Amino acid sequence: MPDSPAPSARKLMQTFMRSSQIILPLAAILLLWNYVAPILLLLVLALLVNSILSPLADWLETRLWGNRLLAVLAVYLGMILIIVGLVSMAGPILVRQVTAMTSAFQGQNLTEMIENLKQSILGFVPPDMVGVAEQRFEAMMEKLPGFLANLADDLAAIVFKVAGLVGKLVLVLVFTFILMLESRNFKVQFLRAVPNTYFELTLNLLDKINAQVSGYLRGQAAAAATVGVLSTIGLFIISLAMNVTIPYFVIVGMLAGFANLIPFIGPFVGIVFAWIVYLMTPQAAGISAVVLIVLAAMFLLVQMIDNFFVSPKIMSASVGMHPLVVIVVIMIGNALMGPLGMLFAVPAFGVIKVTVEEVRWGLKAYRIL
Amino acid sequence: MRSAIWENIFRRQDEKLSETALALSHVPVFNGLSRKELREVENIIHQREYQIGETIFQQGDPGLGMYIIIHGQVQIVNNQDPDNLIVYSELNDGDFFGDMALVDDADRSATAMAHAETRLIAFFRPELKDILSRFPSLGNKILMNLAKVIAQRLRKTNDLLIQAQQQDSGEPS
Repeated sequence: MPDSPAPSARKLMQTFMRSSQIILPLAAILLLWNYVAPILLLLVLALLVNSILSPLADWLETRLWGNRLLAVLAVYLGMILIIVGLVSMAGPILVRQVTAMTSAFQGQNLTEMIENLKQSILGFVPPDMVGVAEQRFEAMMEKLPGFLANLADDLAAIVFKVAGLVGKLVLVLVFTFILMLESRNFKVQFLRAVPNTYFELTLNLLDKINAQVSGYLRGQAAAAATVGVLSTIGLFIISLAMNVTIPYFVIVGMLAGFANLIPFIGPFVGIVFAWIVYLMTPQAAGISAVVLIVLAAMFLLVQMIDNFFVSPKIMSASVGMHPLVVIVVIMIGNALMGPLGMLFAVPAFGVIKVTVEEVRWGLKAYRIL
Repeated sequence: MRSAIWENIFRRQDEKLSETALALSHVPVFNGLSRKELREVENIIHQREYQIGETIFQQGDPGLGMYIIIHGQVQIVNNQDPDNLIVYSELNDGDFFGDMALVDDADRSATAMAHAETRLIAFFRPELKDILSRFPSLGNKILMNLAKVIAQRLRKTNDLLIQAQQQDSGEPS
C-alpha cells in the first residue's frame, strides 16, 4: 500500500483539526464548568424532550408537504393547546386541592384528621386488641404531625420551585424548538468533526442511543400519563358510585401517574396515598373496608391496563433493573435533589443505563474493547 | 427525441444541482429522483475525506451503509492475513460499495481502503430509515432501486453458477 510521509503528516494534521473541533469546546466547557453546567442541564433536558417529540414532528412533516418548520410549529401549537386545555380544566381544581391539602396538614385540622384516621383503623381491630393498638398508634402518631408538616412544606416548596422553573422551562422549549428544526443538520456537523476511524462507530451509536432513549422516555411518559389519567377517572367514579368523599383525587391520580416512573414501588404509592386521604376524611357512611379494597382494586386494574395494553406497545427499550438498584438510585436521587430527585432518579438512571449498554455494544462490535 | 427547449430546461436543472447531488444522481440507488428529492438526500448524507491507505471500514465491522466515490480510488480487500493482502476489486470515481449494508446489519465481508486521496459520500441505514419515515414515496423509490441492484447482482451470480455447473459437467457454455 503506497504511503508517503507527506500524506501521513497531512493525515495527522487533518485528524488534529477534526479532533480539535470536539476537544476545544470540551476543554472550554470544563474550564467554565460552574457557569456552563446550568445551561448544559437545560440543553440535556431539551435533547430529551426533542427525542420524545421528534417522531411526532417527523410524522407531521410527511403530511405538511415536507415542511419541517410547519411540522415543528404544529407540534408546538398542539402542545400549547393541550397545556392550556389541561390548565383551564384541571388547573383550578388542582390549585384548590393543593391549597386545601397544605392547610389541612397543619394545625387543628391535622389533629382532627389524625383522630379520624385513628378511629378508622381501630374500627378494623378486634375488641380485645384495641388497647394495645391504641398505644402503638399514639406512639406512631407523635411523630406524624412533624412528618406531615414537613411533607406539606416540601409540597409547597415543590410548587414554588416549579413556579420558579417556568423561566427555565421557556428556555428548554426554545432549545427544543431549535433542536427539532435543526437536529439533522447538527448531527451532520457533529459527525464531520469525528475522525474517520470512529466515524461509523459514532454514527451507529448515535442512532442506537437515540432510538433506545427516545423509546424509553416516550414509553415512560405515556405510561405515566395513562396511569395518572385513569387513576383520576377511577377515583372520581368510585367517589360517585360508592358515595364516599375522596378529596384531592386529582392530586392522588397525578401522584400515582408520576410514581409510576418508579418500578416496584410506584404502583403502591397511589394505593397508600388514596387510603390515607380516604381514612383521614370524615365519611357520611362511615369507614368501610370494602372501599379500601375497591380503591386498591382500581389502582391494580389501572396497572394491569398499563402493563398489558399500553407499555408493551410503546416501550421499545427493556430497562430491567434489580429492586436493590432501584432503591439505591432513589436514595441517591433524594440526596441530590430531594423529592423531585426521588421521582426522576429512576428514569434518569434508565437513560444512562441504556446509553452505557449501547456504548459497550459499539466498542465490542468495533473491537475497541 | 427532445427538442432544444427541453434540452435547455433539463440542462438548466442539471446546472442547479451541486457536485454532491450530481454524483448521487448517477448512482443506480438514486436513479429517477427529482431535483428536490436529491437535495433532500444531500441534506442528510455525510461527506468524508480519506488519505492514501486509510481504512474506510474493516472486515467484520457491523455493516451500516454505502459509500459513493466522488473522486479518488478505493480498494476492496481481504486483509485478515497482513502478509497476504487479497484485492477483490478497485473502484474509481462514481463507483459505489457497501450498498448491501443498507438492507441488513450483517458484518462487513471485506475491508475498504483508500488507494488515493479520496472523497466519499456516505449514505447509511439510519438516514434511509429517516427518509422512509418522513418521505415514504422517496424512500420507496430508493428501496426499489436498491432491490433492482440486488436483483441484477443475483441474476449475474445465477449466470455464473450455471456457467460453472456447465463447465463442471463438460457441457459447452
